[in-house]
Amino acid sequence: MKTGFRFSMSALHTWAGLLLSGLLFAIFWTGTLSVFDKEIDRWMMPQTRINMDTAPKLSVDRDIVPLLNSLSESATAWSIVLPSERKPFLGLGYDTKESHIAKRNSFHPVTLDQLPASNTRGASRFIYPFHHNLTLRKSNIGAWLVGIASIGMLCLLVSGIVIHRRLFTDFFSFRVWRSFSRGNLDAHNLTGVLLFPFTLVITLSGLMIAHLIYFPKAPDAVYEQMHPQSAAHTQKTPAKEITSLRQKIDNKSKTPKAREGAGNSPARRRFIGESQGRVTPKASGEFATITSIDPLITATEEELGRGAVYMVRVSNPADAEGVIALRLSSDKSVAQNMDNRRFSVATGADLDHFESSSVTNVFNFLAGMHYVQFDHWPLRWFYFIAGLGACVLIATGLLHWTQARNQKHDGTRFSISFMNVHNLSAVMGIIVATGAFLVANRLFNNSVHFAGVLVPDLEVYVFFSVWMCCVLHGVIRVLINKRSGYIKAWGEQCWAIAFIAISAVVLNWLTTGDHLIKTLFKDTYWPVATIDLLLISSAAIAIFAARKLSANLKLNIGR
Amino acid sequence: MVVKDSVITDLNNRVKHTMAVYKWLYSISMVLHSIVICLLCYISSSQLVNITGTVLFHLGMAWTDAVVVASMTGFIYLPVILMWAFSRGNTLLTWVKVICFTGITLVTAWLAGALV
Repeated sequence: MKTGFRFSMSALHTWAGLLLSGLLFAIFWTGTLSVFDKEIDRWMMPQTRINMDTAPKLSVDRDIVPLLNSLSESATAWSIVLPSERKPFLGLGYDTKESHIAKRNSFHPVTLDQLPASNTRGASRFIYPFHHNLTLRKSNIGAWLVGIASIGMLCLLVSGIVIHRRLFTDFFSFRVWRSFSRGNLDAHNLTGVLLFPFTLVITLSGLMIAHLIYFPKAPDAVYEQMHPQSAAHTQKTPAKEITSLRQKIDNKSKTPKAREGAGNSPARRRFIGESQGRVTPKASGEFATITSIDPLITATEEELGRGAVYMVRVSNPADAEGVIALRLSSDKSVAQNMDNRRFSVATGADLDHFESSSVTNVFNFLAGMHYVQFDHWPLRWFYFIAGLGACVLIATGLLHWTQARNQKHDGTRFSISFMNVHNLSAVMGIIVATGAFLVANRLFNNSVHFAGVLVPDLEVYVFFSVWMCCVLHGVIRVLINKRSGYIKAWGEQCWAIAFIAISAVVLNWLTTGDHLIKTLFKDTYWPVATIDLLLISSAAIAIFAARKLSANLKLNIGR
Repeated sequence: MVVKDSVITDLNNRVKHTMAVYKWLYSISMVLHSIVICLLCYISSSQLVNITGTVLFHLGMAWTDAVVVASMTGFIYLPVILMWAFSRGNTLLTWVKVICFTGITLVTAWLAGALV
């Protein structure tokens, strides 16, 4: 029996790959799509397709504050998300007398009319959450599964380098026309080596930004070390309060966590407040008229550059102790900007500004690098292509295992048949399901209900149902013919992708009137044009793959 | 001759059956082994995170910064420990090493007052 480090790493690479690659493909696929989440949102929410080129700049004092006053007189907090190129509408959040849960509505940036509700989750409320928690929010099960897969990915990457004997030679070998198995392995090696820095950093940063889920006790452990003096220095909290907080930590440490990243532990709440500047001021009960906000934004933008302020948050807008916080945009830097400027609601006087520490800025850099919110289109496309490359890396790794065994055993073993179906479902299933999600969105065309079910939920049901149908299709094909049924299934699902992608483009044209000639040349609107072009490209690739698979099947039958 | 053949077939079937049972038992035990090793590795890395945070805090770093740095290093500790744990073929040795390591991290965390 072979032993040694390389052999152990090879076993680790094989087993971790077989067990986690299906999940990893889903995470990387949805992560890649999330790079263009706002653009997919515009495609799925036609009422938000607003061209910002001609929109005049909004005045917070003249346009927004009266609007917020009319919407909710007794709000304890307002949030104003100013329109931007990728999110071309005004977002207002406010609470009401009836409910302290903030209402969030979108408004047209020119007419200030409330936009009709988008009866879809879109990419930002389905594809993106699927990427980081698989939409399994209860007790953070989804986030934990993603975390396990991500740690597995790190082990796969490092073990892949260890077991790769001819790293440099294989880097220049891509024998795609030689045979499928040769080309597949070359593609796996090439994407693995070429994208190693990207996959390593994106996986590591993805884990790090969710550190409060994966290492939930870290803030408590360090907080426990604080003496009353140091705690008082940190947040001017009396010693008695610290003792009671500690007791609360002990009492609450066993309660389930309702939200990601924000557990019930006071230590964690303080950690979030102190490291990210998220402090909610208390109201004094003394009435005050809100000061003019426009000069505050102008002064900040004069100092930091045009468009530096992306959000205004007003805590206690009619209170003398109220605070106006200007959150700074991350458009101009890779690092996520957590700094904010605070002013008094009553006087507009400068309050303490929050600035992240150097260490937190390292974290912000990693977070910003993962979230891709900066305004740099070439880099955004690089992320998208690299993300697709990572998907190819995972898919070719899976296919490599089954390819060798299919040739040897003709797919007659249960484990090989199982993996054939698994690969098909993991790779093709989610792509078909994503296409079906877009088609369903255009078919329901912003209706509220369909057959008594809310359309946003129905779109998600379509996604999962189509995915399950792909699994079933694979099972049936493999059961009918263990030897080559999987090839036929791959080919058929390629045709399904092509059909769905073309249908989505046509349905978008029919339901919104935004065809490609219009969005590209007549009334240029890049977000929609980009998604349409990507759909057409994926249809073309799927047709090419289907034809190749068909030829392969004929060869296989003739063998 | 016929009797001899049937005895051989019977024996062959028994061996195949025993082998299949052994294979399943082996697979299940390997899965359980991997799960427990991964859990132990996670426990040791989370204790290392707590210890790192505590040490950094006592070295003068702000408590929030200490938490951030410690948590970030945790994602280096965990894959390294996992790869170290799975780098040997010997199952017994792996258990001994991982249990000892987890024990050491737990004791150190307790001594540092970071066992929460």
